[in-house]
Parts: sequence; C-alpha cells; structure tokens
Amino acid sequence: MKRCLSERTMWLVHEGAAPERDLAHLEGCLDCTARYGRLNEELGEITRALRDHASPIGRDVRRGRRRWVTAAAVLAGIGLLAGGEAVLWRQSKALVDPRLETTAEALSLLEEVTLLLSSPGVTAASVLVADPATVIAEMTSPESYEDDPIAAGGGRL
Amino acid sequence: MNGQAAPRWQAHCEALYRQHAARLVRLGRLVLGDQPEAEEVAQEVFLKLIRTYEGPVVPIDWAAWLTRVTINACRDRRRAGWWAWSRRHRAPEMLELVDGGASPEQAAAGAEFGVLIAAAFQRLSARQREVFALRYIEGMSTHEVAGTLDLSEGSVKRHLFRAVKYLRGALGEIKGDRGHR
Repeated sequence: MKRCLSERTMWLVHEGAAPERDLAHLEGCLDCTARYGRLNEELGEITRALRDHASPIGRDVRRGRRRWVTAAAVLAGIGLLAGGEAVLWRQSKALVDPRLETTAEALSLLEEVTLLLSSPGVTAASVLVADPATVIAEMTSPESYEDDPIAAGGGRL
Repeated sequence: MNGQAAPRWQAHCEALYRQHAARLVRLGRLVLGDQPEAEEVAQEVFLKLIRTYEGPVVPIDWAAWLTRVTINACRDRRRAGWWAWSRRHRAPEMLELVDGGASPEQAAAGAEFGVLIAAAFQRLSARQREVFALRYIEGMSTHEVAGTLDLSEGSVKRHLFRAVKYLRGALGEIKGDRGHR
C-alpha cells in the first residue's frame, strides 16, 4: 500500500494542485479521506470566523495608541513646565543679583566720597582731579588733622 | 469634466463603493487587525479611485485594482512609525485573553471563538495574512493572489500552506481549551 498523503500534499489536493496519483490515493484510502474531510471542515471554520469576526482587537490598538499619545503629552507638558521654570529662575537671578552687587558697590563708593568730602583739607575739585589713592593717603596721614580744629583738639573747652 | 460626464462618473464611483467598500474594509481589518484603521484605508482607496478615474489611464478591472491599492495602503500603514510602535508594545496576552472583556461563560459558550481565531490570525506574518485573506476570504485563485502581491505562485503557496498549518494548529488548541472548560 502506498504511503498516506502528507499535510502539504493534502492541502495541494484542496488547492487543486496535486498530481493524479495523489488524487487516486485519496480516493482509495479511508484514513486520508477522513483527514481531507477534516482539512476542509477546519478551513471552512477558520474562514467563516475571520469573515464574520467584528475585530475587537482594533480597539486594543487604538487604546494603546491613545495611551502613547497621552504619555507623550504629559511628558511634553512636564518638559515645558520645567523649561519655563528654568527660564524664569534665570531671569529672576539676573534681575536680583546684579542689583545687590550694584547696591553694595554704590554704598561703598558713596561712603568713600562722603569721607573724602567731609575731610577739611580736601576740596571737591581736588577729589575730582586727584588720584584717589593719593587723596586717601592724604586723608589718613596725621598732617591732614593739623588744620582741623576739632581733630587738633581746638574744639576742646 | 463637463456637465453630462459628471453624473455618470459619480454613479460609477458610487456603484463601486457600494459593491466593494465592505469587502475592502474587511480585507484591511484582516491585514491590519484594526477596524478603524481599515475604515480609514478604505476611504483613502476610494479617494484614489476618484483621482484615478479622472486620470489618463483607467484600470479595466476595478475590483482587482481596488484590492491591490488596499493591500498597498495597508502596507504603507504598517510601515508608519506609530504603527510599528503600537504593534511592538501590544502585549500578546491581550490578544489571547480577548479584548472584549467577555466572561468565561460567554467564552465557553463560543461567543469568543471568532476573536480567538482572529488573534491567531494576527500572529501570522504580514505576508501570510495578505495571502490568506486574498485566497480564502476574497476567494482569489493562487495565480490572482500572486499577481496582486507581485509574488511568484510558488511563494504564494509556501506562505499559504504555512498560514493554514498555523491556523489549524491554533484552531485545535482553541477547541482543546474549550473542551477542557
């Protein structure tokens, strides 16, 4: 007896592409006839199921895509917030810090100017034209107090 | 286009739409595994039909043309970045456990048989899905499938046999599982 048909040959019979000798075997073999019947039946079931199926799988893909879009939107929002916050922080730092420095410098300059102008041997004109180092040296030297009646003790009673 | 030709053109397009729209949506749904995407593909195809109708070369066999354009549109969708991403990140168990959220009783009653077969179908390769859908759902011959997909007949048969073998195995498992419940 000839060997029974393989799965592929059986399928080729179904497709109408099997050689004559395989068809002859199928007609004479009860086992192969039963297998062929099962193939036909199963293919019919699969085809009917696929044809009638309403595909709820698609909803899953949609839901997955929606989740992805939501996650991307949230990430973008967080990024924008963080970026905006960083820009604001930089701007506030740029506004506050220089002002503080400027204020400290201005105060120390004003202090120096006040000190210079209040010293009696120094006129405003000399302060403006003289070298600041020289002026400060003059101010702090003992001779500079000689003409000052208060500093020289003239003011004492 | 003159005033007399327009109604004829419209009537023919409408007739083609009525005749093929459902078929093309079903084909797209099988190839892509996504009903809304399939509907969008069908819309694209019919827009192309209108443009082709106005063009210099008009196909002789509109049914074959529509099928071919649908398959190509599905391939374009599959190549899109978001599509590949969503397919990669979809958990396989989601397919197997049935997205519809049916109760085990319903599944046992056979309500989800189609879903399980469809899930098995989606696990085939894209080429196998195309070949199977055209041959068994659309009822094309192997020769016609080969012509539509630009493949050799031998290649079509190989893909088709693998698809049939896999789906029969899946069917056996589904029936076995249901038998044990």
